[in-house]
Amino acid sequence: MTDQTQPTRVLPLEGIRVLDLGMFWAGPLAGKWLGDAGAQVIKIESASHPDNLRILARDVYPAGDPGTRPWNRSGMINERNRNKLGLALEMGTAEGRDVFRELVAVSDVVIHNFSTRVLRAWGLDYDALRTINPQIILASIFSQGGDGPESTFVSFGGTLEQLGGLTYLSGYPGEMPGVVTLQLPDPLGGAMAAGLIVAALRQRRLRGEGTHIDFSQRENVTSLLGDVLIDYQVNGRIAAAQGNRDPHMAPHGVYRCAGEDAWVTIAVRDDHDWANLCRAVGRPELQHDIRFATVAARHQHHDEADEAINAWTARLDKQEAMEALQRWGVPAGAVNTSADLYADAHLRERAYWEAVEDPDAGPHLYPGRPFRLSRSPLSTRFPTPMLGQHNTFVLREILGKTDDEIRALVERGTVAVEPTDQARRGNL
Amino acid sequence: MTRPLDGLTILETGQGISAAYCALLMGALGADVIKVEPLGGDETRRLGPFPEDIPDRERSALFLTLNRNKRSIAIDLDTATGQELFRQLARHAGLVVENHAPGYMAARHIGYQDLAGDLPALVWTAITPFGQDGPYRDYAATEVTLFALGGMMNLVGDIEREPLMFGGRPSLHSAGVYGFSAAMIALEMAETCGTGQFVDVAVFEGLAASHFQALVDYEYRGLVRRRTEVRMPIPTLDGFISFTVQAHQYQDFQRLILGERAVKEGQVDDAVARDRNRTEGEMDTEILVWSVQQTKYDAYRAAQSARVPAAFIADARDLLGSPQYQARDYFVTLDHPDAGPLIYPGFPAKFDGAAWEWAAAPRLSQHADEILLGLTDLSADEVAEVKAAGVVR
Repeated sequence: MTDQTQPTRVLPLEGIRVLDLGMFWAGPLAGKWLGDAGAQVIKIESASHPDNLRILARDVYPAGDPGTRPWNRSGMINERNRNKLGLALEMGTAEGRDVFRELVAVSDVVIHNFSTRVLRAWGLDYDALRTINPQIILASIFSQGGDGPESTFVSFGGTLEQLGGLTYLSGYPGEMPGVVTLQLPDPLGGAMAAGLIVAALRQRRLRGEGTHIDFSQRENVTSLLGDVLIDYQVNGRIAAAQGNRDPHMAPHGVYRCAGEDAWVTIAVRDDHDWANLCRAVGRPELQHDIRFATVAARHQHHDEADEAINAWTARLDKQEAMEALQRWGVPAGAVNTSADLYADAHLRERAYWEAVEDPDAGPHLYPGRPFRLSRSPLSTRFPTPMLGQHNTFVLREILGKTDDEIRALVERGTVAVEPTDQARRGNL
Repeated sequence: MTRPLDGLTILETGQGISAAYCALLMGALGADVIKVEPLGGDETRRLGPFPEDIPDRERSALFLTLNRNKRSIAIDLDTATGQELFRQLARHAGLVVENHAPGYMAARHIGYQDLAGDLPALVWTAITPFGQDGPYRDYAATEVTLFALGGMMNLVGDIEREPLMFGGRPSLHSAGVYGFSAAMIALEMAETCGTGQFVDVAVFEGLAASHFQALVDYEYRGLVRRRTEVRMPIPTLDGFISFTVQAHQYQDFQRLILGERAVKEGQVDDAVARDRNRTEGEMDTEILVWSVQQTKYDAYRAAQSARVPAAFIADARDLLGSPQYQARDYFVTLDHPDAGPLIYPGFPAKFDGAAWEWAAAPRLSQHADEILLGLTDLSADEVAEVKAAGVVR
């Protein structure tokens, strides 16, 4: 028997049901973190509009082979939709939206990263949802936010970096700001949205009703730049790309190692680090060199310091260079590729990678998660669903529909397990 | 309005960005964040940038940004008395957020294991470069070394040149965000079933969890992604814009740039040309003719109004002047006794459209008295004693 006031459970979000309408990256990531934490996440797509990454998979198939059901085989889809049930429900039809409304009545959270128009066009904006279920939490992961003159503009991770102020700060110094991209807004936004949703669950416990989270991914990156905004206000200075140098540390940068496109990063935080670096690279005399005596002097003679360091790193493997510097306590990190990461001893020892067998893509190692909970071991309990894999489970076990009702929904195409021909051609 | 984290007290301790950003998000959502600083203050107080570039621990832009909505107390955690005060403060906390090196708190007898016995519902979130175990555990690290190790730097820049850092300190900030989410998840369990726990957040693993495609590209088909070439942005009167045109948007794109000419010359219906010109490539000259006559903001708005995905490369001034940010009341102006009134980033989400409450960052140990009198066993005389003894500033 479970004590109702102090229920025991292993996973923190057991008992929470999430309807994840997310597409591409930021939305599905939010659902992934919640699913990892034990929520029952239902990934809702449709035959006419599967998650775009099922179709625009960029050839990320096992051994490059799309197979007979490519929409279930992309690494892009399978990496970020684990621990979810799959429902392919035609939201473009009245019947599909009716089923969705039934789900809203028995769920806690709805996530989407559509544009501002979509839910409204379906008659499923927050006011509509809370009429069905006042407890519901709607998490809108918008590009720019739910209102404002640019709220309907189309954006991607890369464009939000530009609009949010990160790109201007990135690039080779003294050159035109080339468009380098990191695609940071999506993973940052997905993680942030997950935290906001759980915070909203707490707010719901306090006040007894749900909320609408109007989240702006563009604002989410500008929120990292308070110091840059203040620098402009108080000093009139518009911060620009510094390459790999740092205003507070010197030398600081990336150094070429032995091998093709092999590099190690080094950050000398203070005089102590500098003395240790000099010993590590076999140039102990440089710690007494007046050109490098202080951080200001090292900034002034940065190129000369770089030359000395480069002469040493060029002979070493990037991992060897990192380890040699770390033995002296100097911050250094190899510039890792994906292959390096999969082979990395630290990640292996911490059991970071998770072996998951996807029904149509086979067994693969996927990234784990950046947090571990001492009493709630998180894992991939089940793989990314195939399109519509759990249609029957959701309709029967969650909504209590009869076999006849389910058959009718299948016959009318309201639920499905394969994309439409149009969708397969990329018309999404 | 009931704020999401009303009634939650958080103890934050450590240095720098990751834990501070994590707790900043929680403070904005309504938590009472007590920042336990070292006697000399958080290291970001020394980093700036500062007004007129004059170092002043109360006027660091970085510190002021990261520590709004917090109360500050500076405690010497190397002393037994300081450790006892931390222990007493923890009794009021639902959550500890820290980014000290692994073992630092335990060596002072105020680690999670030391406190959890008496505080079973306590959630303790530790954000470290590499986590609490593993061969790199004690490696020295900074933003750039983590960015490199996490596999991100390899993807940024020109393949013919060295890889690049990225603006906004993505490694440390994203670890703060992962810490926030993980802490919220653990807190939900602690508050609903009384089970607290230790949350181990690793910056390195945060980056390895944030790849768009590079990891699965390797795992699925053995492809090692690297930097490509840097795309040149498109100049305008006052800065740069870029397009991200997909095949199905190419007609709209041509119509935007060529106007009536596009229709006359029949390009819009030319499927062959459309396939060949998936990006702006062969229209370089026409694009320039179009773009250099207008400002970056006007060009961006014109393109977006024609349903063509475009962006402009915003600098600090553009951000502060953004009509979108102004319409959403994103920025907040806060007056600080030493730094004066300044505009700060706000919170990137609204709950039910309501505005959040903000308070400027604290002066070093500004709230020592009220924190000690309110949350520890010390009397007013004893507070004076610990301050005279140099345990609390």
